[in-house]
Amino acid sequence: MTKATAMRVKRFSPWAGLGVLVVLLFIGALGLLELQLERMLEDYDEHAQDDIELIGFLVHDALQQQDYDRIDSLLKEWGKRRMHTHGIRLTTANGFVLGEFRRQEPARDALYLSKKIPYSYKGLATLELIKDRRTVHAGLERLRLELILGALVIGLVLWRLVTLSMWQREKAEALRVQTEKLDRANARLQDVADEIYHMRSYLKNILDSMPSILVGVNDMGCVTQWNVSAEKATNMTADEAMGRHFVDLFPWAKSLAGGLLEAMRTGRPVHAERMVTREDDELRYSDVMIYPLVASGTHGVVVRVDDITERVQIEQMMVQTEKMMTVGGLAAGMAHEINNPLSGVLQSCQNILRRLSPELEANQAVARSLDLDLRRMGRFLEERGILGFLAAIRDAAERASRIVADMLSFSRRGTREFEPVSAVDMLEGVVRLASSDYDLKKKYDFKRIDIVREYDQNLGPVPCDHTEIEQVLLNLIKNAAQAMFGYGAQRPARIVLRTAKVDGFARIEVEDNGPGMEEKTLQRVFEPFFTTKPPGVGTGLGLSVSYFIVAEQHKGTFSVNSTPGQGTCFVIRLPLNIIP
Amino acid sequence: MDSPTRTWGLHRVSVLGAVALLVLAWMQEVYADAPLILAVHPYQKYSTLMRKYTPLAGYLSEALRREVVVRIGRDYQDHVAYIGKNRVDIAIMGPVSYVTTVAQYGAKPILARFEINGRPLFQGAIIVRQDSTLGNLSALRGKRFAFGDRASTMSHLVPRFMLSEAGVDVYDLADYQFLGSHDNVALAVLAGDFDAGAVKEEVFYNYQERGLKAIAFTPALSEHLFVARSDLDPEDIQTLRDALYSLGDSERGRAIMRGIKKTMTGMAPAKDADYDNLRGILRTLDDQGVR
Repeated sequence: MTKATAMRVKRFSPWAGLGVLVVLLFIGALGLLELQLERMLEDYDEHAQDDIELIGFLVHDALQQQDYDRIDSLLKEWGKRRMHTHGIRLTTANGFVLGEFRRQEPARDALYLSKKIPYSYKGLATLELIKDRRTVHAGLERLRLELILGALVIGLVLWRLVTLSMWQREKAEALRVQTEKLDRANARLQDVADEIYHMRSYLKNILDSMPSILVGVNDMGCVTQWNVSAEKATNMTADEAMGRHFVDLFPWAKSLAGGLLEAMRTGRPVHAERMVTREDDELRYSDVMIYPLVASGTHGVVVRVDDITERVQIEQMMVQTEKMMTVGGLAAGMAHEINNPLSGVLQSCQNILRRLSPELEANQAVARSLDLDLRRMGRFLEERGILGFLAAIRDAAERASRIVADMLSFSRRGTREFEPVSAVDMLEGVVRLASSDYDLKKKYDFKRIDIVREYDQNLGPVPCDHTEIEQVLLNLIKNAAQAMFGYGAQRPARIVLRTAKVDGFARIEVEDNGPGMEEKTLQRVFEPFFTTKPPGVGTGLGLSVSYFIVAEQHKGTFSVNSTPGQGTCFVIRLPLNIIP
Repeated sequence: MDSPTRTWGLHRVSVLGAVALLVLAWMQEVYADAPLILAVHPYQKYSTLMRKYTPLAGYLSEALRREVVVRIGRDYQDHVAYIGKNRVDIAIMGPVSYVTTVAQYGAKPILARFEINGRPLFQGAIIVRQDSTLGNLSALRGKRFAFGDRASTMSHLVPRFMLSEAGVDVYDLADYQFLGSHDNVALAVLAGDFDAGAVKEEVFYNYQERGLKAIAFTPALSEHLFVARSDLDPEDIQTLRDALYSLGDSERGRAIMRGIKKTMTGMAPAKDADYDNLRGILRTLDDQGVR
């Protein structure tokens, strides 16, 4: 017996026990029926005796009245009406059958009774009664039949219950198997769903990791994908953006609506370069690429928006730099050109002054020849201020010459050779340049600014590219001047220039007492293109380039600290022991 | 506007109405006079007799074109009195009743007499058991005898006459009883309660095979008969006679007769003289004080 079968038998046995019990009960009932039959037959016989008595009484009555005719019909009626009467017969003493009733069908279990009927003096008639105990048997048979039927019914019901329970068990089993299958399928589905979710997350991550703004747009022009960059750029979450029209969310992209359609229609990407947007008073540039989706079944586009402002600005700066370089070149050329006349002017000035001096022998000689009193001429020139004028011319020309020299030295694209240069010299040169800065939009007067110098004598020459460092210093000083201009502080504008030697570094500080900068601005001060100056004034590159020069090229440090309302201090540290 | 159905309905009603009137008129004509009464003597249950004789009454009504109704008499005396006094129009009588009526009230027109099994006569038998040693009437002296009804012709009156003719008076009998019916007599004899009995022949024949034999037969008497009241229209009398005679000619007639008596086969003419033999017997019995 297999385990399964054993299990079935085990499950079966309570029912089997019940079945056996029912069978036993049934047998018992049958036995009881048999007993009952005996008793009922006995009962019957008793009643049969009563019957014959009654018939006998009626017959006797008829005989008494000599109504012989009646007897036959009486017996026949009786017999007809009593189903269990099989036969009745009245026989007179001489053997004549006065009345008779007989049933056609044979008796099943005949009970024979007879009785003598006396009537007057004529003797005895014999009354015979045959009763068929069939009814008893019939009744019991019926009962037996009913019992059998009942047992059968009960058996069937039990069987039904058994099979039903077994069937139910099987069903339950099948259900369980099915459920297991479903569960497994479900688990697989779950795995698939998880994978899909992960894939989707991964995709989202990919999309979100893109610095570009990626927007999926369907053929209705509505947003179907919205990555994190898009959220940041528009301050709108994916939920908010989903389903809305692309051109609604990017107002500056209204002109792109046509581009979207074109991309979808032609199936070719559409490129919109340099779209201009304005954000927070800042001009920004975007590069827009519209890629049509060509996957089966999907219609729509992916719009990639890249902020290319920095690139554009760099480009512009490069252009500017080019210009500047050109200008520088021009300036250099111009400087040379100016130098010549200047030196001419200077030379001539010198000569004039020398030739006017009464001290000079040559002058005296010529004066005597002309009968001219040099001293008197000298007094005339002085009183009329002509010597002064000449001196001024000389100073001016010298100054111009110096400016040109400075400018030449400044604009020279250094070969990036590190030479030991005096920090003080650099600072002074920058101050001179700043005070003569011919910014067209001159908004400040450098001369008004008080320059305080705190130079450390211990600081020797600093190995650096002096052109570049001068550029940095100039930038700092100009910034300071610009910041203090228009500040409207009660105290006079002041710039403090400090040098020091600290721990193997040359420390140069440019400090002003201007408005200072807030923490927010301080954080961004070295950012390229970050400027607090009004538009058109400065590119915002100065400090970032300075930083680059100091930190990258000179391996120094460049820092700033500021207190709003009090001033700003830029600190440059250049290593002294750098190997050039 | 009337629908066709309505018109047709009206049409039907009017036709039926006309027909009804005609029938009524005809019936009136037929049954203009008072119905004739057919009186039957109460020899069986009222309902049985009504059932037996109503078809005949209907048959006679058609013949007469006049309604005939059945009336059952209260008893024999009444029956005799009614026809005797012409209170009823037609009466069925047994032979004895007829003789008595005529003797008392005068002649009555005889319409017809019963024909039983083709014979308008009937007989009775003196019966004994098959194994009886009695061979003739005189042997019945000191024996027990069973009569039927006291008024019965064949189970009392005529056998009694025969016994007396044979020299056996009832007092010579050991015992004699009136058992009420022919069947009873037969059964009684068979049962051995009586040595002999008197029954009409058909009863004898019925029970013969059960162990009876006849030691004597009565003289043949004329059967039951239909009489009319003495003052009935002769035409009607003739009509009735014809109707009765022709009962045996049609299936319907035969059915009517079978309804009355299974063995009745027809109606035959009769005359008063046919009953003379009975008349004589009865006179003798009267002299003896039997009746």
